[in-house]
Amino acid sequence: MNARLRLLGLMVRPRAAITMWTFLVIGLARHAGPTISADLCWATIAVAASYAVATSVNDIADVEIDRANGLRDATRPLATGAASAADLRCTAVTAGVVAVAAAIPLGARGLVVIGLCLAVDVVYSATPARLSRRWTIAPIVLTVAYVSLPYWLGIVVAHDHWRPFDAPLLVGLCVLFFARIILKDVRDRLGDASHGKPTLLLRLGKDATCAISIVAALAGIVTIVVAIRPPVPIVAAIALDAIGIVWMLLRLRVTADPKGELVAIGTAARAGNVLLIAVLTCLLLSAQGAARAQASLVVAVVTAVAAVGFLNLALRPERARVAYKA
Amino acid sequence: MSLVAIVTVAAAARSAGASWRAAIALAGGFIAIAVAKFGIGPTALFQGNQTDVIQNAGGVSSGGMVVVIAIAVGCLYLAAIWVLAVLFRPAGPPDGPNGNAALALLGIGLAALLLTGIVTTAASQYVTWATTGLEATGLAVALFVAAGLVAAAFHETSVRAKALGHASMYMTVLWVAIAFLLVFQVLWIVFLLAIVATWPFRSVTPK
Repeated sequence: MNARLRLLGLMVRPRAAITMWTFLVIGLARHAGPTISADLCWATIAVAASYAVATSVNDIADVEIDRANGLRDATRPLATGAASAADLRCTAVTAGVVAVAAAIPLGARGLVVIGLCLAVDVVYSATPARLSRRWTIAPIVLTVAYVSLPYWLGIVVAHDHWRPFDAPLLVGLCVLFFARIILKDVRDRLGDASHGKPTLLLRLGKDATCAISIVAALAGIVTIVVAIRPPVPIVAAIALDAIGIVWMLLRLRVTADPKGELVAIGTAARAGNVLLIAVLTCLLLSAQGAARAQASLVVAVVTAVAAVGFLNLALRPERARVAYKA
Repeated sequence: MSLVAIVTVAAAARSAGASWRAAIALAGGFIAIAVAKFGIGPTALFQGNQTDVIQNAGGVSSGGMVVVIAIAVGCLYLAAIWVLAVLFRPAGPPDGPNGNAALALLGIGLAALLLTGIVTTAASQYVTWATTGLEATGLAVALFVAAGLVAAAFHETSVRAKALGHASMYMTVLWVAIAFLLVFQVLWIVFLLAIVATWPFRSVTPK
């Protein structure tokens, strides 16, 4: 029993799950402001469990590719041999049940959103659909699963409905995330190529992928800023994040060293995360009636602290440690 | 807040190589500083403000004054973090803070006091209240206890400067975060995500 629970906890992969949770909270903040409720707890559990389904199904489908890519850390129990395919199937079923059970208190709309999450989790990796093998569709499906559905769940938690102001913000978030997710295959390209898995990176090449990512990141950021119309200091903080992202993506384009590539992607992702935090701070504090100067101050402090970590990695990439790679 | 201070300082000092005993003693020292900072200091300011009104500098409104003070305090915190991070690094033997760092801190403090004195008497009033009367005794006792505990913590350790620098930096950032949290409780979400986004400092997640 303990081993099964441990495996379930392992498959949640907290960092990625928290990224999904961020979009959930942004959806909530856009509609209800700082509402902390039991529904938020249920939604958090549901999102985390549905993500465990996604990782379990994907690990089973791509075990040979993961092994070829040398992904033998603790977060890949199937690739390391610490767990069997049957164990992961059991984990996927258990996590699916947990996700549905946690969505019940959210009502019918919550069940619909989590149902869609689970459906996407399965069709993305498992046959016959196996959308992960369709290089044009895969990043779009992941964007829907990571951004749109959690954002929608945030609206459900807020007990609200889609409104016109959601469209520009969600489009901006999706485009920004698309810029990030098309780079995920850089780490795995050797295994992908050897197993004939088509990805945008392998089809279009690194230069084109980086160019698309830069354009998408900038377009997404501009759309987000237009959608939430933050105070000028927050726009400046977001602009700094954008500069950091573009800087790292340009470095990625010219870097040939595999570790250097991963550090550039991870460092750009850090700037992207801080950008999302700035957006969330702006939404939360404006909903709570905080003065624009106060919201700006909080964002400035968070940006300053994050900048230390970002510059530490950007200026000394040789010191960085790459997570999820043995 | 004391509990948060204990955990943060003890963990920071321990991660910097101090023994548990030294880490806990150091945490006690920081708590004494916290008592002085958040208890005695504000009390002194409050009592002084009952007799002498702190005027608004340059006709700035009350809300604007808050922002000005916040920016000034923020700059001081950044300066302190910079000094701690750059100058308190453990150099070769003899281990410990060097004289330049102490002078830099003293210079920053005096410069801040003088610059603030140009636009408002608030800073000098505060210093006056904090150095006279009952509050001054309380402050002196608190700081004496803090100094004693810090000294006891590092009586025999060789990682003094590193542990002290780590603990100071974490606590400085933590105080700022707590101050924001006390005003807007909902910011726990933001700080939770900020910690996840920035920690650990040297790890990146490429996928």
